[in-house]
Amino acid sequence: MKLNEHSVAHYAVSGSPADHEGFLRRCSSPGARQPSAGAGGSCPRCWFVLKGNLLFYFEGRESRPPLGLIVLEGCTVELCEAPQEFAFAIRFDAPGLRPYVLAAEGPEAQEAWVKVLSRASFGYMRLLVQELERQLCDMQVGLASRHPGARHPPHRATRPPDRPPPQPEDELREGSPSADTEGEEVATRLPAPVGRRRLAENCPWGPAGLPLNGGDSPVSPETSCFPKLHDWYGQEIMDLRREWLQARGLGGGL
Amino acid sequence: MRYNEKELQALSRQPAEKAAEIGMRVPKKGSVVKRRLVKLVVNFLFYFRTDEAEPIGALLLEHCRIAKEEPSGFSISFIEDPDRKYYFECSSEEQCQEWIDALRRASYEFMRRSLIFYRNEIQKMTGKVNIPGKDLILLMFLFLFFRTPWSSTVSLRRPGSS
Repeated sequence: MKLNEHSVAHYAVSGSPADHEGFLRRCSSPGARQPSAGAGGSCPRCWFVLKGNLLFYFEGRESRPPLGLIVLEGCTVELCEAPQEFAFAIRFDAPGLRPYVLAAEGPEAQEAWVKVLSRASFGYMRLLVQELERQLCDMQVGLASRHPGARHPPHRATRPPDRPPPQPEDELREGSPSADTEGEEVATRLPAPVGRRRLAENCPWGPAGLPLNGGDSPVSPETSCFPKLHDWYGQEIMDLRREWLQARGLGGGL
Repeated sequence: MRYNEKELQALSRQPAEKAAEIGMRVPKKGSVVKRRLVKLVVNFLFYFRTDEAEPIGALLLEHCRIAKEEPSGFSISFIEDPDRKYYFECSSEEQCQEWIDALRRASYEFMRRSLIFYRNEIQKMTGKVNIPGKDLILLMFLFLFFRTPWSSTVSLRRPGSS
């Protein structure tokens, strides 16, 4: 099976934030028929970097590219018995998958690693985002109901600076055709007053649109829905990037 | 770089955010559009031959760019080599837009930025930091105890339905 390995390796060493990093020993699997190593014997010491749901390991702190990748989905992380001190295992639910046994350099490091690894899944992150989205949404609905009919109340949560509306031919267009159906779906899943439904329609992703703008314009950035704002601010970057790529193409294709 | 294929194969069998048979062309010389089952599971996009159970390949959707392609397709490229594009052909513009929307929010980096954004917005409105709040600790508790390995939506519904 292929994987876009170049991009994955690039992501591993890119400047995006690491959730945790440090030295760990890579020990043999407890189930494997291997002579058990003495304390630290055949366990290579590697530099581990956690980025989201991916755990990369490197030969050393500054080594490139990564030696390997562990995808932390559908796994559990727990302390385990091993010849090495401060060991823990990453076990997978799927049959036939052997656990990884790693050993930290001290009890604090062990505890910290087990903690961060056990909540490194995409599902957990998504749950946190959904929960915060819901909290913000509830707060905004509460705020809107205290200002009945107010279209531009003083407590606007987000007001991006003025800038020209996006060009229609831009690739990152707002207002997807599927927004309405998705909005309906969200509204059905979360029985909500009319105000809530309206803001769900305004945001293609979830119920976090701003109820305060009344949903006037499909191209207006006046919304606190993150995907829309992300696209909105992203346009300038995309334009600059396009120019840069064109310039690079003309300059001899480096 | 080493990775365990079995881990990825196990992940590819999990419930998908989105799956469909669409046309796909990989960035290889002389490559043509072929019909593939394309399946989005967390931040990986798996592609299969339509008559095979194991995927041919997977794309990690971090640091990638999703672009609309005319007439009703989209492409995925990665920042270290933006000219190398994976092309996908949908049956309608609507289907294409649905894929683009799903893929753009399928990265962990996007989720992380969303988290920071919502946290800041809530902080602006309340004037205090909301994390770790007791709601979130409870939520984490529920997540750890009720989760089926891959799907957060199931774990969200379970406590209510039992």
